[in-house]
Amino acid sequence: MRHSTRILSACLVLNCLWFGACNDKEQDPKGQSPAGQTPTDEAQRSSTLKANANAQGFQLELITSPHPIPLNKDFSLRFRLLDASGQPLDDSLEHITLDADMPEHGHGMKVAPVLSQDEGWIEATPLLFHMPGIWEIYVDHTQGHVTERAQLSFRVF
Amino acid sequence: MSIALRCWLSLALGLGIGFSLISCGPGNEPKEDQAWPLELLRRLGPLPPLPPDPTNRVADDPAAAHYGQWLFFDKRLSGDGKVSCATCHDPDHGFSDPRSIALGRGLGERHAPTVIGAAYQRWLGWGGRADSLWMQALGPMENVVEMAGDRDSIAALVRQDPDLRRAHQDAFGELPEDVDALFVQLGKAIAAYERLLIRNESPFDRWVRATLDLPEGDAEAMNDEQMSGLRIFLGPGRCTLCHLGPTFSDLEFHNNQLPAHADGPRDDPGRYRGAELVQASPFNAAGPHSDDPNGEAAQRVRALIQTSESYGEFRTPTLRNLARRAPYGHQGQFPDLPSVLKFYNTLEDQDLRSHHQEQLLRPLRLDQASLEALEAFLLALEGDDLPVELTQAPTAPFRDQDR
Amino acid sequence: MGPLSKGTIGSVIPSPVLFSHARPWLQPLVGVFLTLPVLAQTGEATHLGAWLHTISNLEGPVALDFTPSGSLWVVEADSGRLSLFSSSGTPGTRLESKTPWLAPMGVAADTRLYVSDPAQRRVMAIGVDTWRDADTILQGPEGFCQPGALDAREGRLVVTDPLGGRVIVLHGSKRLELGADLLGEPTGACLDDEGGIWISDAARARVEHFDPDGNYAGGFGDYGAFRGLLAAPSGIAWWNHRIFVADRDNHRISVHTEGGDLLYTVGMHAIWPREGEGLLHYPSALAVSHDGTRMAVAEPLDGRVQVFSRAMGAEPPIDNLRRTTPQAAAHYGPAIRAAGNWMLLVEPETQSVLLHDRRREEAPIELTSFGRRGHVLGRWAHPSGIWLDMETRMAWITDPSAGIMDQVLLRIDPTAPLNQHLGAAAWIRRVDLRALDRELGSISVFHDPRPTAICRREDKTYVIDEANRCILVIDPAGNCVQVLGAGVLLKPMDLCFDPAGTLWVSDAWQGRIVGLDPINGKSRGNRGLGALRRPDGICSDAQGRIFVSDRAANRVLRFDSYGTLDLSIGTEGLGPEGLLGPRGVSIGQNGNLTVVDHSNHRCMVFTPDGEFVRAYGSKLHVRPAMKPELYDEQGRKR
Repeated sequence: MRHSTRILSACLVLNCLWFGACNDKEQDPKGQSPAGQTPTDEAQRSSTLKANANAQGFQLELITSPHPIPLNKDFSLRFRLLDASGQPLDDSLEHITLDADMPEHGHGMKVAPVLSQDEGWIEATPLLFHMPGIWEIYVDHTQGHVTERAQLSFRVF
Repeated sequence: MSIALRCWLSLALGLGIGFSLISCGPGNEPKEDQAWPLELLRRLGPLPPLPPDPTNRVADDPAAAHYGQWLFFDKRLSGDGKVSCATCHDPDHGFSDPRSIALGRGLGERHAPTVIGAAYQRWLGWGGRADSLWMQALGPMENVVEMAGDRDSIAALVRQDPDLRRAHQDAFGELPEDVDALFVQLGKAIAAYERLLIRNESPFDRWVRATLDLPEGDAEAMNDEQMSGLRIFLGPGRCTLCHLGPTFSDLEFHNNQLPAHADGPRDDPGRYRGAELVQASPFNAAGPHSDDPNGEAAQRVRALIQTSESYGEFRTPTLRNLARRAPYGHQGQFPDLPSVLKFYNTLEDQDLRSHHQEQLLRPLRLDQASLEALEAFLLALEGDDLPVELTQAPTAPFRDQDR
Repeated sequence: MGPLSKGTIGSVIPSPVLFSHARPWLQPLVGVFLTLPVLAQTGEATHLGAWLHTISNLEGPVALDFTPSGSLWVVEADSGRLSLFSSSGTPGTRLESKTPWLAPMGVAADTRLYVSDPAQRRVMAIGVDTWRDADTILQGPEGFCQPGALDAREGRLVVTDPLGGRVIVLHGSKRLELGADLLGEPTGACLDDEGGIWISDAARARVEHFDPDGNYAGGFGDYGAFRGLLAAPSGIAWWNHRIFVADRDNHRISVHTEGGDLLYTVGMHAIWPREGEGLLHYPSALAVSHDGTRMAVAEPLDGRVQVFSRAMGAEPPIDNLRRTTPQAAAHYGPAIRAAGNWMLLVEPETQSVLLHDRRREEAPIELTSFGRRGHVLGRWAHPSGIWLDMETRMAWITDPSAGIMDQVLLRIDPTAPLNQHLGAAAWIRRVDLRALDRELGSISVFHDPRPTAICRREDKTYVIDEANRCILVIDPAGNCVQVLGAGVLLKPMDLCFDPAGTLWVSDAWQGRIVGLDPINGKSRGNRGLGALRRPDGICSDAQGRIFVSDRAANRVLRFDSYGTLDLSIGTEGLGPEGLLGPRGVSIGQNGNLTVVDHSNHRCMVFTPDGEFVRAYGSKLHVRPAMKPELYDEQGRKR
């Protein structure tokens, strides 16, 4: 399979979620879901979310605290990166960044969370989603001269 | 694509307002018999208890608040003994200023915002140059166009005046040797007083309790016109894009391209400068004078991003208790509420600086009846009056019971 | 073309001063009675921003400098010429190209005349008596990519290396290198009276200051449109402790104290082509005369230099009438790519990339925009190269100032009904081309790559690297597997494949397009020598015809599959056949040609045979094309 086609197929699920999240006005406004999953009730109750990197280079496992993510209140995240076989990636923080954005608004957060490592998990704090709507959390991982991104979508209200 | 378009579309989708690309005019106004969007109403009221301020250990101390109330009215803190906090934050004018541009020792650059409910704010000042009430209180004392005092003289006054010294000791114990430490304590006392300036129980608060099935509600607290105005506020008025939260503010900063006042500067960096100032100040929540230097507020100020995207942004003002504190806007550009609503309705005189500037807002194009209903609703956010004793200088800096 | 002959001044009325915005019929009177006394004033209370006159019909003026006597040297990049104008704007000496430079980009007038020639990667000094005895002062590529702007004062010469991100100062035998770890794209530099160096950094929207010994001494500036902020500052001058900055993308001159405080701004955005008299359009360089009485501003897109004099007042008066003039909201380009019904465009002012759907006949619909100013993944300093793949819904974007290439998934169903999908872009990966293996083929000195244009074929990505004058071939994993065109290309601008698999590259400085074998890099011939002046955008249609825009000649040329030039599309102007500085070109699904009419802030659509189909973009600029009978050749309402 061509490389780009493989990426496309991996991202189609993400694409479907996007349409669902944007167009389904009946959806629970507190719903939040990983970019690769349909926002089921189970996903809404769970505080642990997983997503593959958009280029399939790693997996993201992320815990929100509190859950669901509150509107306009500080919160923290814990996350870790896993390799293709599901084993935690042991990498320096300087190769990892976390950010969030409102792609529909064209702006992001007004704070830059600080990352710290603790027993294999990375804590990001503080985050603040100050406006209602769809937010995307991005975790970027750099290996050599290539940076890849994993992302999760949240509807915050 | 303009940020405005993005914001409107996103908000409409997020709030389930029924906004579409094709049809987006005021004709979408909800019908009177339509169910209220309860989730949205929960974001607006009733006014919750005041959040604690762990950066100020005397934030809720009555002795400190009494002392702070004295200081708020004490003109001796200014350079020429003629200006106090109350000069611009006039209790008879909703703790705001009837002038558009504040006039202390000199002409300022912005309107003096109300102190009522300021304790709910995340950032203080139009540009957010402070992250606590006590930090905010320190700035005007030494600002040359506000009170133009200096901390050495103020500290000397406290040390020399027996009443002030006693009040200070009642609140904080022995006077610190360090001038900065003493100066900060004055700010913390003033903050303790300002935390008492809350006007609750507006008609909206009583009405929303009833609507949300909460105790002590009153479904009749708002009249039909006010409820009609609320529907516009939640819907085609698009006010909740920024005025969302129990103070009717998102506590953050936006650039709505308000026209400059004739006496105000045309170029005001707003949040761009405010973010720089608050992060650099030793008096912020993460600084050595904070009583919680690793707490939530400290983490927030440390993590604050400084970017020129925030140039010209000003803090979303609270919409509670508007009636007695005209004019409005960060430069007091608007003499009354109808002129504010007219601006957002037409965007007349919008200050577009260059062709690069994104159009953040689109004209609402509401009819006159809708504007009047909106104004009637805004006036339903008027809380109970403050106790008279909180609106004037106490008879002494220390409490009677401490004599 | 206007009525004035080349090299003449547009107006010799030295009038405006107090009445710079007075009605035209008043200007001669103002000139007679008020000019001389006011011009004599040079005190601190006056601003330097009253329009004096315009030197028109220049060919891409990119640099200029005053001589001590007040004459003005102007570099015309599109013709490779240096021209000298008297203080009143009368043309004088003219030094033509290739004697001894190829493509001059900077000039400094001191005891000698210094000229930078990035094409030969060298700076030369010329004797002011003969204009011919050229000494090479600086020669790349060792430790130096290519020279740009220059300034000279009392034996010191400062040379910017915008592609290398550094500035070099020569003083006798001493050589200083500044800002290697600080500067992004130093586009302008000047010396103050103590030997300090001031640098405008377009990529970082900053002005930086170094002391005479090369120590960093602070700076100011941040990106934005508000007064006091900068957007691509591209030229800088120092006079009497004042810093004059050509704030290119804000279309104004900012005047600052040495501490960075804004004193005043000069100029507002010109809307119509050639609109001037103080209105500015992408001012790219400036100079202040030695006595401080005049400021000259170069605007290459409009082919002119405007000269300003001193006037009373703290700053130029604001023209409120002008402030309410409809604004040119949409700027496009320079790059454009089409795939199927989709079209990708760069929006330079917002640093965003726009995705359009072209199913609607009358005008394309903007589906989404993505990316904005910044440095993290999802943001760019200056997006330049773009590529679009309809099948995989992927876009590739390069940012030369950051040296990166991004891959983005567009989460849009191309078969769905037309609708906007805000936030449809998901970033897949970023490749940092600066971290590539430095041992690349035949390139002996490999500078940090600056990827300016991109195209793809099969699973390979072909990236123009303007710093190393080659094409980097990148595999799907982001590794560089081949280098093409090294030693053949001088100023590669854009690239495309024809149906036969030849990789065509436009080369601005060589005035031709070059065909390369993508497997072995060997030449497959070239086109356009003698016909193309500054070739820019390039694309091929299904018949193998090549379309090339010529930015300097305001037209698009078509070459048939045998290499014969068989069609010229467009002439200078704003009408239905009008083009002004055309850049990117692209063939759509229906075979029509879309041209980014860059300086007219619009896109033009032509049939492959050059018939005008439609224009779109800012209404202000589209209307003259759609309803030509209502407008004159300058685009003004009749």
